[in-house]
Amino acid sequence: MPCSSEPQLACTERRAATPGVAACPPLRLPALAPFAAYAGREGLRRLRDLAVETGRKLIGTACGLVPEELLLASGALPVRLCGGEPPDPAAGLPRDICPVAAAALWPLREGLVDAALLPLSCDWKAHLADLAATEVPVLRLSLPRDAALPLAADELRRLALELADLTDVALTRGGYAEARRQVAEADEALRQLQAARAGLLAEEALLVQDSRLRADPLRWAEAVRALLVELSAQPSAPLAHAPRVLLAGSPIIYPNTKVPRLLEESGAVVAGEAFCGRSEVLLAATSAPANGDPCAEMARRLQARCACGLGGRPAGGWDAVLRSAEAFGADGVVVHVLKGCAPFHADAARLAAALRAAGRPALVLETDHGSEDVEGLRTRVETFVRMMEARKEAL
Amino acid sequence: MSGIVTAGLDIGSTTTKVAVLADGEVRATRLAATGANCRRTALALLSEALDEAGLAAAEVQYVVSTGYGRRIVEASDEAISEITANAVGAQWCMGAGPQVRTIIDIGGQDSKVISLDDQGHMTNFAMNDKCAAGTGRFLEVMARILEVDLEQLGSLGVRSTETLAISSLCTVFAESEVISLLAQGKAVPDIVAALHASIARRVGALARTVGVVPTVFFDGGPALNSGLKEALEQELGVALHVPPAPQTVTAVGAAVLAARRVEAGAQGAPLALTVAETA
Repeated sequence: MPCSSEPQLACTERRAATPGVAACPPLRLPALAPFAAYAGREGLRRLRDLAVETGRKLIGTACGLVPEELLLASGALPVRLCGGEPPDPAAGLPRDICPVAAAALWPLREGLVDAALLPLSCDWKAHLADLAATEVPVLRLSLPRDAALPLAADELRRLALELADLTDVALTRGGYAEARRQVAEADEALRQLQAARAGLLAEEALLVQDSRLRADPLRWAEAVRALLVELSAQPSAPLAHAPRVLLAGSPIIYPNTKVPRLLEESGAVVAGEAFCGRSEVLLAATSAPANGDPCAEMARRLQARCACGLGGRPAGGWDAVLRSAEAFGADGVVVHVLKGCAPFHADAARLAAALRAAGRPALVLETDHGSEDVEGLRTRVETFVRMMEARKEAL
Repeated sequence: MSGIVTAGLDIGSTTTKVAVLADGEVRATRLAATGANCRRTALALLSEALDEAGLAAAEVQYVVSTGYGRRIVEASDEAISEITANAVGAQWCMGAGPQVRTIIDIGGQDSKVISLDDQGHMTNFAMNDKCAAGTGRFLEVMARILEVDLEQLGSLGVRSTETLAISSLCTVFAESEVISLLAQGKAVPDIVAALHASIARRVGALARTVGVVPTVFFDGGPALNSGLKEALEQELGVALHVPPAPQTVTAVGAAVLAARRVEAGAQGAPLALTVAETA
């Protein structure tokens, strides 16, 4: 089935962004169309229009440590700035800049957002905040890197006041509870999606998940439920013998789908992802209730969900990867390292060693959002998949 | 593997290698520069190898291709990565010898280190293909600058009397260093030894990322270079086992995997030894 008219813009953009890597994936399921509509640059412009129509401030974010519920309760519309697009050569950025930070710059420069909320979770995010401040008002969030919850709660209180000034919407307990309910509903939809993801290609799953912060949470949850209905009507042919792979490490963000695509082309199944808070959302049995001190609860949740080791738990973040590998029944883990992410690069070999010590093969792949290294990656990925197959047979 | 005839095609960036396996024995191997048309080169070599083995194309039951050109040869029934094929080939070449635990393969444009457990299962691997440093291409470039044959490098290096250092890992920058050393009047054997040490450091660092456990198998074209082998042994502190034909180990591995496929019931397409002109 060819792309429908709306998402075709995003697909065309994607083809142009990663020539030779990915042809426009036909939208196999009509229910994927709402997610494709919010992908890429065109999707972000649509969200800009929505913010204007509804009179809300559009606030750009770029990290899993962003307290989404605080933004919603303040009457703002959060939008994820970072994407998987290659850096714009016209931006004049150095080659080894963090690809996530580079991808976040263009909407700031085009003035698509009213402000940016950026956690200072790594050096690049901190510098991104400085760069962003030359374009739009920037709210910085500096959460402590250890388990100092009272300090984190104080920082969130400070942020809440700053947000209220920006949006002219006073934060109320009722408003926060409603926002928390909306986020919990989206989290629950994500869990349901994970349970049904065998019916999706890996890049389709990424498309759906990465549109999470490109859409209103309730609309997104509703679109996921429609997708689940459509998936349940599809003939299911689980690949029982295919090795199951967990993706971990630096985030793989749509449309940079080359690694999951190579895994599937090599005969593996992508069982799940363990980055940007997804693991903690997926592994949690229920969402925390919104009672007690909202800021303390938010601080606890944000610190618990960071699997990247940069924001909250320098080594403990690996726990989420190890637990995700177990929970998703992964036969192996690809530790994805984005060039330019020096802290993750430094950690990758140790994380891979920890995984191997726990009995799971691990492959460290260092790459970026470009397409030049696809064939080199293919050799590694094919070998890794054959290695997992041989291991499964031996067991 | 009685009654099974298969072929392995290893289409590397520099050299294409072919192995024909029949009744569990390597009947013929061939290699040549890959050139501009790797499909034609591979099929020409396969044709020659079949002639030497006294076999007809129609007798070949399955063909496995590997190497950078593995996915573009129509004659192939299956493409596998060169790392997988190398691991199988190395163990096949060792036969009843000690279990290979580490494989170092230096190819034309990349180098690889493979780790195997005591049962021969691959447990880890590392591959360096960001640039030509630590590869056969590095040696080719340097041999050209030194105006010596590639095959002479091994014997030249052992005649070294002065320790020199090539500090750059980049082929282009190392080329400048070599030219500079020549301009200083340094002896060619000393420069060659320094080049071997440079590659050994590079490959040694790669090997340590997966761990070096004896028995260590060394293959790929540069394994024929005795000076490089010695430098690597010194760098790693272990003896390296070099097979009689280190260039064709991966092609043999591909042919062995093809035979295993036939044993498992797979059937390849009829083999045609012609290339479409548009190819």
